[in-house]
Amino acid sequence: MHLLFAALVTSTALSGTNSLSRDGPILRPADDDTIQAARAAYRGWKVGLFIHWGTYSALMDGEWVMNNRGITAAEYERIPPLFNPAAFDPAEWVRLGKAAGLRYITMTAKHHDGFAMWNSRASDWNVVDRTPFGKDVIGQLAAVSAREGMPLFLYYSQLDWHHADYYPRGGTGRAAARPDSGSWSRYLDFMDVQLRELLTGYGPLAGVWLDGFWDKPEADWRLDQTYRMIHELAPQALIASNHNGPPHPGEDILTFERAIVPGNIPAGNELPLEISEKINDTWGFRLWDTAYKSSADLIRGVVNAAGRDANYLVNVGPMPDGRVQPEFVERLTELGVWLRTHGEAIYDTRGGPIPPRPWGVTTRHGNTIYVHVLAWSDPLLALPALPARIRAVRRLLGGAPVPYTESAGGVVLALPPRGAGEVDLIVSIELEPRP
Amino acid sequence: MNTRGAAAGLLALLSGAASGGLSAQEKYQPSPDNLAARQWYQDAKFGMFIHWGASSLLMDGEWVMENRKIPIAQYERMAPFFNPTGFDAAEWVALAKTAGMKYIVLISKHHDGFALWDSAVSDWDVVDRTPWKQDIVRLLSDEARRQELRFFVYYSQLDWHHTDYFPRGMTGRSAGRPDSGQWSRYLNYMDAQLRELLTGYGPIGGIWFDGMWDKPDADWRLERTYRMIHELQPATLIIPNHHKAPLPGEDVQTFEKDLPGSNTAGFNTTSVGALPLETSETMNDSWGFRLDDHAFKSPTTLIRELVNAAGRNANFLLNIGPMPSGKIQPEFVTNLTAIGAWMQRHGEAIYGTRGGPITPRPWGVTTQKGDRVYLHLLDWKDRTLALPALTRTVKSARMLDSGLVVTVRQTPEGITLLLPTRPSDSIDEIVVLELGR
Repeated sequence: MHLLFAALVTSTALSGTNSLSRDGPILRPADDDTIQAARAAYRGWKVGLFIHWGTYSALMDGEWVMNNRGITAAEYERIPPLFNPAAFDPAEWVRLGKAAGLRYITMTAKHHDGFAMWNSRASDWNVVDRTPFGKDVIGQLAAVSAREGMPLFLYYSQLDWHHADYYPRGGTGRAAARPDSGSWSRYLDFMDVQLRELLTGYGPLAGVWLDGFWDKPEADWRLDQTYRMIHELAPQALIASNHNGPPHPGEDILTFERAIVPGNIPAGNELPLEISEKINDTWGFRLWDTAYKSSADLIRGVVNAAGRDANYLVNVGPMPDGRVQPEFVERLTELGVWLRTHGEAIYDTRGGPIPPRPWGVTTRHGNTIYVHVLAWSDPLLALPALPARIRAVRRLLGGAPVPYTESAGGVVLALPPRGAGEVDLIVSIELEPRP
Repeated sequence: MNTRGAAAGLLALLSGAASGGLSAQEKYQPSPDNLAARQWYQDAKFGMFIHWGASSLLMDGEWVMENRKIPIAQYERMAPFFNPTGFDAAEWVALAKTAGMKYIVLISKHHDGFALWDSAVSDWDVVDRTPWKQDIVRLLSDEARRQELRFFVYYSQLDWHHTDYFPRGMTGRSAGRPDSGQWSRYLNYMDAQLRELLTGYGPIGGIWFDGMWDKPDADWRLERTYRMIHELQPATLIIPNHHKAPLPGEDVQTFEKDLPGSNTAGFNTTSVGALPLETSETMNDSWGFRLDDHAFKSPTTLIRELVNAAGRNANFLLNIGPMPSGKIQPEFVTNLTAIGAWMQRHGEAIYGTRGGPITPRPWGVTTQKGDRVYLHLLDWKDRTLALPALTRTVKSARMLDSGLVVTVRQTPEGITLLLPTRPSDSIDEIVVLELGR
């Protein structure tokens, strides 16, 4: 921490106190057009690209390496001087996202190691001040994203294994050898300053993706103040928080790692859902992790999320040189090929009228129901009754009619044979408009 | 080892010397008794596995010797503490019967080499080394017969205690044994022990082998051992847990903690042969008693695995690891009692059946007995269900529990069922199809 930083913290904390109404509502009103439009647009995107990249990538052992190996903060500080990603090209990342049919990017601005991937003035523990590379990674990515029309979320870890004021400690980061003292409120001020930097210097952002609350679930995180600040600085920015619980007031997205936890969705929930998933078993690059999901797995992931009314955020952990490993590129490109021909049944849809079934899921767009048959090998498939009379049933690919019989118990489809390698056999059912 | 043991070992050696160098019993033709035993076994469907021995004292699973790298000298100090005053063979067998199980597979010797009977070829056994001095194989085999369950034994080919288990395999390297030993002498010892089990304890339903995977490339002289078993007791089923496709001379293909054809455990073969099949499973995460293992599977989970096994034409062998006292922990008793209650009401769709005409589907599985096909709806919530076409017509259909009629519509593409109500959230909603000729 240097003098400039200390001064900034003080001034910002003061200005924050003045400009923000502490007693005002932090849940934006339901008729707030800006936020309703932002949530609706986000829902329509359906698939996004998660990027985990930081100074930890140099160790090639995942983004938790500092905690997993018990590396002290002093030792860990030797890594940034080794961080010099000669092949870093954010345009290539955005191109990959577009080729994969992904409609937004969520990038780690600061992970649990506390290392800022932008030119933060709140601390010199950042990519510009501490690495020979010296470039503002978030700035460059934000510029390319804006140019290419790719919405950008920034991931920010509330948990911090490096900052001395992250005290009392939480469940992790106890081997960092920090002094057994620190001011929690000073840490929260620091976090707000950094978020302010991101929201004012790199926007307009699609949103902020928070993580790490779970490290100190009983602590006072001053969420009201932070959320109010975010909403006031960037009314369009959605707040997602990966805290593994029901939504806190002020949040806009319920995000889940790997699978939806139904118990965390409140009754009558109107917030968009998101499922994040890795292509192998690691978020940050791990050299020896070869447990790659197939492109078919990724397609099933997208479809299963859409059928649960959720977005699918698929992760890459670029290598130390900044490039995305070829196995990820190959699989994402194949996902993109699939989305180009089947995107009608994914993009801009909502979860369909039939909840997930052993055979697959349904999505809906207007009066059209898309039946995604993922696991069914028999010629006949029985569906429960639909909410309206059927006007037409067709196979999505090619549009050939699909024979069906309607009865009191439901609808029986005579499925066309599944093509070779066809992961998701999609039947579109057009319903009569409701009276 | 005493003189009687040495004589038995020599006999085994002589009887085996006549056979050729085949890796397994190549020209094996199961005897009529053996084929009948296989039929009985497939009809029985459900058995109890019992992991118990000196290792139970440490309450840390049956691999504790290996996991904690306990040398033999220290491990042997446990035997004098083995005094299971709460052991009651009648109670164990009665619990198996309550659960609806038809046979018992008892550990006679696990990897630690400790024999649960009065072995003549070694004093590393429960009678010679413990103050308790009772022959567990004797007590339990007698009791099983009395209560009309068939009795099988598990026998570990792998041995962490015997000096002649040399060259060593992948495990047992920290037991502190000398770096020498004679493999053929160990195999003779194993044959002698098997002979004791097959000649001294009445009919043995099967020998459940384990541990060959420790030395996958060794010559296990299977030909000789398998032949000896089938000569001593032709009806004894050889059930090897070697995680590979069946070898000649074997009678059952068993899958450890996996349904036939799947490999979630990571060591199973996905190749399913023509022999009767079996899936073995733990009640929590351990085979031998582990004090801090609370990961109990629910009765629902266990029943569904039993049903899934039956639908894949396989038996289900469910394990208990009794406590050092000889008592069975209450969680296991509760689970087995719940399973038994379900089997009482739905056993018709399990016992005596074979895998049905429809292979496993996303909604569940089928079993069949004569003209009846049982659809086990494990994951289906809609009133209509489409089936693939069958080679025989369906005369009628009903719900097993309620007896209510199921409407059947048959077309060349398949069969559509209209259930009387949406399937309940029961463990297994069973539909009975009566087939016509």
